[in-house]
Order: sequence, then structure tokens, then C-alpha cells
Amino acid sequence: MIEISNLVKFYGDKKALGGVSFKVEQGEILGFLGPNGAGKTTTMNIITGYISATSGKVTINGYDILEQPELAKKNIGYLPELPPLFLDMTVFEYLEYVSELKKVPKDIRKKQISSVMQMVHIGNVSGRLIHNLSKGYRQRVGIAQTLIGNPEVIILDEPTVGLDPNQVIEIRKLITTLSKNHTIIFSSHILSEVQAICDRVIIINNGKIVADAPTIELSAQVEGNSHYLLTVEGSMKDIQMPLRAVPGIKSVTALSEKKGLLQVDISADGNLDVRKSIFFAMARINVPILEFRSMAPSLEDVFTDITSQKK
Amino acid sequence: MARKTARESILQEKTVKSPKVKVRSDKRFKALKNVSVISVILVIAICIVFNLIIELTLDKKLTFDTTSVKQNSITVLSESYLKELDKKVEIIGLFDRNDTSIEWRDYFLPILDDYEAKADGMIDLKYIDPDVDPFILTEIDPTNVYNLQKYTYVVKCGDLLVSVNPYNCFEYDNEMLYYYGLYKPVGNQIENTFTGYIRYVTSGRPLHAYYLNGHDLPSHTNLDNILLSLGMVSSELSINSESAKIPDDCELLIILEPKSDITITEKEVIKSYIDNSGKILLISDFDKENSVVFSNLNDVALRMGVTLEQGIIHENDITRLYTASDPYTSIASVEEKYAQSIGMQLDLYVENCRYLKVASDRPSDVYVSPLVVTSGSASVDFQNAQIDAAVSAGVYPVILMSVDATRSDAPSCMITVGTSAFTSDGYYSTKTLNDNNALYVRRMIGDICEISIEKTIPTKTIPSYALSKPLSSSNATMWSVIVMTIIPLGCLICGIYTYRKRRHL
Amino acid sequence: MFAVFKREFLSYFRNPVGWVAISLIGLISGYYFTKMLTATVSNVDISQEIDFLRSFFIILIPIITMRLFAEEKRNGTDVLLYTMPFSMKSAVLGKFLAAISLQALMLLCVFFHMIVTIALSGFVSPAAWGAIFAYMVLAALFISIGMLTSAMTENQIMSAVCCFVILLFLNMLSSIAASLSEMFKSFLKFTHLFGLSDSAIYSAGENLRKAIVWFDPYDKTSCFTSGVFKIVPLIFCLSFTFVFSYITYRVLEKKRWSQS
Repeated sequence: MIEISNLVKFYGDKKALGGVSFKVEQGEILGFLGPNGAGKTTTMNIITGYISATSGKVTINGYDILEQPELAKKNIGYLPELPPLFLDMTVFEYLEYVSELKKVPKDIRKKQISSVMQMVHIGNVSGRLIHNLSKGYRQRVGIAQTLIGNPEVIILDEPTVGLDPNQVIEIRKLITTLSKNHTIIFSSHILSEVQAICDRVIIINNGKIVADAPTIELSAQVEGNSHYLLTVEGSMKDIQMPLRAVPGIKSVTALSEKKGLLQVDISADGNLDVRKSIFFAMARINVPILEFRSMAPSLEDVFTDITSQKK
Repeated sequence: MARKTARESILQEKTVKSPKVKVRSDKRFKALKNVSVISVILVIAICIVFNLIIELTLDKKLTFDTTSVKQNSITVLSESYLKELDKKVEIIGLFDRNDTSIEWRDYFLPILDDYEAKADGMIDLKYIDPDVDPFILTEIDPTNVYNLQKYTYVVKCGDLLVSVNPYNCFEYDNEMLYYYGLYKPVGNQIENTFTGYIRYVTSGRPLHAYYLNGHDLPSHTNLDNILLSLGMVSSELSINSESAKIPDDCELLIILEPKSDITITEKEVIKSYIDNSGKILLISDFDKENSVVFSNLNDVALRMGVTLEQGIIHENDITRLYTASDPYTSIASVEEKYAQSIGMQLDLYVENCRYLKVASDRPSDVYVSPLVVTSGSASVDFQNAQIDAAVSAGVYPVILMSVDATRSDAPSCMITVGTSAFTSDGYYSTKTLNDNNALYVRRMIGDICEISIEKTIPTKTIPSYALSKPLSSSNATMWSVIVMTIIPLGCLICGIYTYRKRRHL
Repeated sequence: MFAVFKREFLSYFRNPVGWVAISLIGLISGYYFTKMLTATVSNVDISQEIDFLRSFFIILIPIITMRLFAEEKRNGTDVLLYTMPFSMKSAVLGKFLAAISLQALMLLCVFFHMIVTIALSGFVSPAAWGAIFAYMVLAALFISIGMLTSAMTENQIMSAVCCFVILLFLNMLSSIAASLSEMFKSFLKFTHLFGLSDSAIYSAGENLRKAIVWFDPYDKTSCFTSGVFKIVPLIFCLSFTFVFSYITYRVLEKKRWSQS
């Protein structure tokens, strides 16, 4: 469906992408994961033909984006990070404009717009000015725009950024619904989001693909280690030895220490539950635990883990 | 802390590890860039060349004159003169062509461009601003005979040149001048002027007419234009001195409405001019309020068999009067015989016509015949009522032509016109030179000066942009309110309305 | 193409911009018309009015064209044009047509004045129609220039300023040409570079001036007001309109291959 080979992009002297290659099969939901500035947006912009690459090739459905742009673009719906909305138009006017741009035949234009609006639940705001819509609605209008013309591939760049939790959940639901009929690529810097929706995850950092694996495999990898945050009244010297003695704990790292309060990060084997042991270990040396919580693995952790495992 | 730095170091290590080889950009992008840049340059170049070619080849053909009187293009008549040109003529405008502050510019530029376009390279049209190129004036006129000024034209061929004052190329609305002090051009004589000058400077026989200077010579722009339409230029001439002589190139001496009698010196000079096959146009109407006795002038007239009487023609035929109350303003007609010979009969306007008498004691070889006459029921009012009785009602001459056939190879002639209606600027200010009187006087002068008469180039009326029905002040206010307030405000309100309406959608 | 045209054209009227521009022109032309109408001796010459309106291009055109591409770039909506199965040529054409249509709409005021003139027993010369023609063609040329500056800059103000400067330059081209040729002449005179005679220097300067003035669209179309209808200046303006539109298209297309 989409084939990307050896994409390199320089912004002046600065390298943004350093040889990214991957394939997306029909019907897949691909999560594109990476911290800010990793090259997610650049990759997506290149795939959709918005900007050019320094070298490399993108084909969509067999059409090269550079050589047959119109045929290639016909298969894509793209929602960039900043939704391309005309604030001075109503939702309906806007979608009509987009369907004209996408050359949707006149006779099915209205029908398609209303079915798309139904799909993303914006039917009730169709006559309202985009300017007056909330962020969540705007995002949905942006998604509706990608669906016009019924493209096979839908590319969403950080669709959930800046939305409140309820809206995020709704958007995620929407994406899941869409995945029934479309191939979807979507980028995010939130691991859990990708885990929740995607079949496959590509992790990108510093312009390079760090990992490319089905979500299940990745989850397993990530869950190999679990992290805990522990705040105690005591010093590193006091707690280091007892903690190290607990079976399953791999490392203890001090995060901060002030006014006798010590905060540490504990990395442990994911297969063992070490929480009880830690509690008792602390109790034994009379160090009171003020705060103790289990931490969801952050993206950075995933990188560290993946890279360290690769070593 | 330690852990974080460890992670960073790993990440950094990765960056360091990534291949530092600078990836060459794809050839396809370079190709696209080249196509883009080259095509832009090519399109610009093609566009410039294309326009140059079109301008050089088709500009003249694809120029149309949309004015109703063809104000911007020359008539067939001028064109036929241009076709026959065998010498190069220079027309130089002594100003900057792009100076939009010149009010008459728009009337001159297009038609002169047309001259140049239709002359097959025989006319060289230039615009040189003497402020920019101070040498130009001395280059054109080295001895400063013509006193050339900025904002005039010069028509030049070989050594012969004339200076054209653009303001003299128009006929002005007399009423406007009178009531508002505005010079409002109503007729455009540009083509006539320039064609006349071109004929003048290129003809082997430059025709020159002289006005007798002095005696309150009135303005004569319109007569000048009539002369020009015959290819004849004119200037004023003073002969009131012992050594004075009428120049050899004088084709016609015009004595135009003298307000005082000529001096004896002048009389002698003119007489000797007549003896030498001279041609004279004498215009002398009768002013009832201030009638001067022209004894010296009468001597000259008598030489050609005419006397200027102190009387005024009184038309009694009411059908020939312009206004029933004024018997001195009437319609005259061309005398039968002459009308036959020139093949036209015209109604001519006559006012304050002097009683001209054919002298009985004229020299034997002098033949006098009337050219324009009154109706059969005119009479004469004498200034001095006693003489009245002697003259009965009948046909009286308005214009007389005298020919002295002493020298049969080159007879001298004189045309005596008893009214100013044929020549004065006053008359033509309400008429144009397309008027019957102008046509007739032109024909007459052409006849005596043996110039082949072609059709005149008509005066091009300048369209009046004045409303033909003047606007009442309340109407004017209403329209100004509509166009200046209601329309703009309406648009603005529409804008505010749609904006407000949409804003809350 | 039609989609872009429709959106742009309607957006002039969804925002107050279009309305304000029209009412501005209505006011200006109305002022001139009233002046002609109510003068001591009425002199209602519509072609003069159009000639007068031409001097407002320099303000009007930047206002209409500044937003065409610059605003889309700022709002990120240009993504739509780039990522849809749609050629940039159509976008350029559509936006151009929208701007020129607005310009044509502004002339409705003048048409209204024409009707009033005729109704009030005035005279509308054929030259007025020629002048309208020349006005529109000149507007097309300037709009294409404004479109180019809009495509080349990131924000509207920059675009408007650039366009304004270019139009100002074109407006003064004749005088610029004159002073350049003066400078050139005095340069030749003082340096004795080629040992030219005075008249040769003069003609060299004159030719330089002519070469520069050749590009002056105002000069080329000035004859229309006096009733001369020339096809060649129209071709000149239209072909350069095409050139600027083409460059606009290429500038926008640059994104496809640009490396920065």
C-alpha cells in the first residue's frame, strides 16, 4: 500500500531524517511513535507530498508521489498537526470545498459529506462557523476532511494533542472505527495511546527508526521492566543495600534529595511483583515510605530499554 | 541523576554512531529544480521577445480610433499627401512625451503617431524636452529666427521649418470664454494644421501669405487655419517705412479689417505690389458706430476698380434675414455665373456688410465681377442720410473680384470682402471651419492663388462632456448623495451585516 | 480550479475585506463623479474617472492580493492544496480569477455612473469603454504581481508591502527611466569611457530610457483614455500577467523539490 524507502531529509545542514524505510500494508493501523522533533511530522509531510525529501522514494498504491502526484494523492487523506481549517467557513462549506478539491462527483458530494459528518459525529455543528468550534470539534472536522473522497490511506499527525481526556477517548474510538475501512497511519508521542489502538508500531528517534514491530511484541519488551517511584525519609546510603538485596530489583537511581526527603527510581523485573518486598525492606530499616507508586513506562524508557536490549 | 545521564549518553551515542556521510540529494529533485528555473527564464524571455515582435510588426495595424470624429487618426486626404511625400519631414515635439500635466497632450500624441505610422517612414516623429537636451533648440534653429519655445511642435523639412503652437490648433467656445473665462475647445484643427504645414515645408513652392500689420490687426487664427488647409502659411508684415517692400515670396497680401486708414507709404508699397502681379485679399466691413474714411485704402481699391463706400447693406427680403429685427445680418448667395463655374451654391452668412461699388472710372484692363451678392431687394443705408435717395433697391455685391489683365501671363487680382463674417475669429468661434463661409473663402483664395483645391480636412468637433440639460442644484445634491454616500455606505452595511451574521454561526 | 475560485471569491464577502474595498472604490469614484457633475461647467467624462481610479491600484491591489497565498501559509491551510489530487496551476488560476472578479465588481460603481450620465443627458464616449478595458487588463497584470508577492512571502503585511513597492516602482518607471538615463549620460560624459560625442551620448541615454519605459504598463495603456484602442498593449499586459502567474505557480511548486 505505502512503501517508503530510505527517506533522507536535510533542513539546511541539519539532518531531520536519516534513511527511514518501512512498508504499510492494506488495512493496517500503524502507530508512529517518537518524541517531539524525532521526525514524525517530517516523514508524514513527505509521504503526503507536502514537502520534498532530500532523497528517497515514496510510493502509494504503486504511484510515486513525485512522479505521479495526483494519482498518488488521490489515495491519501491527511490531517496535519495543525488542522487545515478555514476559520471563516462553516463546517459544511468547508467540507464542500474539500470535496470539490478532491474532485468528488457532484451528484454524490452532498451524500458523502453527510455520511462523513455522521461518522465523526459533527452533524449537529454542520452550519456553524469553524471559528466558533471547540478544539475537539475542530479536530473532528479535520478528520472529516481526510475522509472526504474516501481515500484508502488516512494519515493523522498527532490527532489527540491538546485535547481534554474525554475528547482524546472519543478521537481514539473514532480512529478505531475508521480502521475497519481504511489503512491508517497516525503519529503520537504517547505510548499508551499507540498501544491501545495500533496493530503495529514504528518508533522513531533522531530521524531514525528505532523499532518496528507489532504492538504485542513491543508491549512485551516494554513490560520486561517495571518502574517505581519511591519517596522516603532517609538517605541513599541507608536504603541502597537493603533495596539491592530484594530479588528482582535491577537498579536504584536517586532522582532528588532535599530536606531529608529522598526520591528514587527503582527499576525491577516486570515479571515479579516487588512492591511487597520493598515495603518490608524499608520497614525493616525503619525508613518511612512517604510516597510509593508504580510508573507507566515513558517513551524515553522504551528507547532506553530497546536500545539497551539491542546492545 | 546517574540514570538520566546514562540514558542521554546512550541517545547521544546513537547520534554519533549514525552515518555522518552527507547523503546526496536525489537527482530527480535536481531535475525538477532545473526544469522549474529554466522554464521560468524561458517564459520570461519568450514573453519579452514575443511582445517586441508583435509591437514592431502589428502595433500600427492593431490600433483603432474609437472616437466618433476620428480625432486620433488622419483622414484619407492627409494620407494621400503622405503617400506622395518624397522628402523626409521631421515633426519634433519640444516637450517630454510622458508629461501628463500637458492638457492638450492627449489630442496630439495619438494623431501624430498615426501620421508617423501612415507615412512609410517619411515622417520622423520625435519628442525632445529642451530642458533635458538644451542643444536641441539651436540644433533645429541655429540662428534663433523662430524663437522656438518649450511645449510647441516643430515641422521641419530641409531648411524650411514652422513652429506650431498647440493652442492655435483648436477652436474655442466663445460663450465659455465670455461667461466663465474658460478656454473650452470645441473643434480640433490639428490634422488640418499639421497636414498644411507638411504640405508647406515639402512643396517646391512654399506658399506664404502676409497680413498687413498695424491698424489694429485683429486675431486671425481661423483664417490662418483656412490658409493652412491650402498649404499656405502666414505671418504679419509691416511695410510702413520708405525702404519697405513686399517680400518676393508673398503669395497673398491680406488687409484684414483695418480700423484706421493705411499710410501713404503703405499705399505706395501696395500699389507697386499690385503692379507687380500682386494678389490682395481686402476685408473691410462697415462699422456704423465708428466709421472711418479710408481714403488711402480707397486709392488702392480704386486701382483695382472698387470703391469702399460709407454705407451698409440693408436686406429687405425678410426670408433672407436671421432675425427679423436686424436687417444687417442676412444670408447672401454665390453669384449665378460663379456658382455655375465652381459647381456649388451656398448660403453664406453676412453681417454689417460695407457697400462696395464697382468704380466707373477704373483702368481699362481691370475687370470687376461680383462673387457673392445679396437678394434682389436689398438697399443701402448711408451714414450720411442725404445721399440715401440715390440708391434704389436691387442686388448688391458682398464680395467683388477684380482682375488686372495688363500682364496677361501674371494678372494681378484683388478680392474685396465687405463683411468680416468670412474671416474673423469672432464669427468662427460659434462655427467651425466646416462652415459654408469657411469653405467658400478657402475656395476663393485657392482660385486667385492658383492652388488646386482639394477637399478640406474637416474640423473635428471635440465631444462635449457637458450635460445637455443642466442639472438643477437639488438634483445635483441628490446624485452626489447617492453616489458618494448611499452606495459606499450600502456596501459597508452589507459587509457589517454579513460579518455579524456569520460571526455567530 | 472552480473550487478555489469559489472559496476565494466568497471569502472576500465573508470577511469585510471585499465589502470595504468596494465601498472604498465607490466612495473614491463617486467623489470624482460628483466633482465632474457639479462643476461650474459640468464635464462628465467617464474615461477621466477611470483614469483617476487607476492611480488607486497601488493601494487597492495589495489589499486584494495579500491574503491569497500568504494567509493560507500562515494558517496551514495550504496543506490542502498541496496534498490533494489537484494541480497548483488550478489553485493559481482560481485565486487569480477571484481577485480579478472582485476588481470587476468594483467597476460596477463606474457602470452605475455611466447609466446616471446617460440618464442625465450626458455623453459617454466609446473611449470610456476602451479605458475600462485597459483598466481591467492593467488590474490583471497587477493582481498577478500581487499574487506572486503573496506566494513568496510568509505573512500578509510583508506581501502587501512588497506588492506596494513594486507597483510604486512601476508607477514611477517613466521618471526613474529619465533620471537613470541622465545618470548614464553624465557618467559617459565625465568618464570619457568610449570617447563618444555629445550627440552619441545623448542618443545612448535616450535609448536606455526608451528601453526602460518599454516595460511601463501605465505608459503603454495611457492612450486608451483619449480614444485610441490598441491591441498590442493589451497583449503586453496579458502576456506578462501570464508570466507572473506562471512564476507564482513555479514558486508554489518549489515545495516539491526544494531542499530547505
